[in-house]
Parts: sequence; C-alpha cells; structure tokens
Amino acid sequence: MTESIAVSDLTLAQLIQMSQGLGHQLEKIRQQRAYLKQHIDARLAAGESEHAAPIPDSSDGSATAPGAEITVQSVG
Amino acid sequence: MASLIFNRALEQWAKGTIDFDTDTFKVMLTTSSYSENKDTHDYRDDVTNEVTGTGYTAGGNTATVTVTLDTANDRIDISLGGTTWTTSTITARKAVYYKSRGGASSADEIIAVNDFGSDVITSGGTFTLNASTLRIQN
Repeated sequence: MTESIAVSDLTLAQLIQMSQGLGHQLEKIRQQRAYLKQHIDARLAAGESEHAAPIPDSSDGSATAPGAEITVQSVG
Repeated sequence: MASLIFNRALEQWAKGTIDFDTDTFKVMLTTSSYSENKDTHDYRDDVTNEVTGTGYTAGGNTATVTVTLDTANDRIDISLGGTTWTTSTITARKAVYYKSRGGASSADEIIAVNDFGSDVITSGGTFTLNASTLRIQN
C-alpha cells in the first residue's frame, strides 16, 4: 500500500532526508548495474553471443524461403 | 529492405538486352549483409555477401523464368522460378535473380532481389526457394 504525502506538508529537513535516501538507492542501483555489466563483458569476451543459435524451420533441417511479388506500375 | 526490381534491369529489358522469354537466368543467395541499391547496382559483381555453406555452389542455381500476359487484369506476370538446394547447411536472407551469360560476374545483369524478411536456415536439409513474380501492371 502506498501512502501519498504532499511535499508542501514536509519540512525542509524531511525533504533533504528523502532526497538523500533516493540518492543512496540510485547509487546502489548503479553498483548493481556495474556488477552485471562486468559479467556481460566477461561473457561476451569469452565468445558468447546475445543472439540465439540459428534454428532450421523443420526437424529434418529443411526450410522454405518465401517468394516475393514486385509490381511495376505504368503511368499515364 | 523490401524486395525490389533493379532500375537498370527495367532499362535493359526495354532496350532488349534482357529477354525474359529466351535468356538464361540464375538465382543466388546472400546473407543479410548484402545491401541492395536499386539505382546503382546493375551487374552481379555488385552483389556482395553471397552465402557459403554445404550444398551451395557460388553463383546459385538456374531459375526458370516465364512470361504470362493477363489481358483480363491488364498486366504481364514474369515468374522468377523457385529452386532447391538439397542436403544444405545455409543461412540466407535474400535471393538475387540475374541473367547468366556464363562468364564473368561483371557481365551478368541483375534483375531483382527477394528479401525473405528474416534469415532462412537449413541444417543438412533442403533449402526451398519459392517462386517470385515481377508484375508489370498497365
């Protein structure tokens, strides 16, 4: 449950305290992101790809490429 | 990019250099890295990133081309035939049709490119390319 408090009802000290709290949270998220990035970089460097390995269309390894319809329109 | 007909092909057709009824045509496959340009690409040596893989020979396969006049709908349909590469291991994104003169790639006029929309992949199976149609609508 979230409770709403009007900012105008807060004292200056409370506002500063809240702002500092958010700053701490932000710093924590930044650290978590850096930690994840470290792991991503290490795995990319090891040759892992973010894309899934290609999979043929059917279980026997076959696949079908669709045809195209290209229209040239006369003018006049 | 979308499938398209190369502008120079239309010119060559109009000038009689390309005869869809009697010439020999082939179709080659490329990866998604080939970036076609309908204005500046005119011969096969402009086509880059042809696929490589088991069951595929550079230059591609012969394609049967037929011309059909449809007076009821006021149009000419040029069917660019399909083909297959059996027991192949290929990843292809586009097919490029061209007039095959049997020599240097710089002499083969390119006709059209069919962009599949996504990679089509075989792994020891049959790569089937469905036919495409060039429609001249009057």
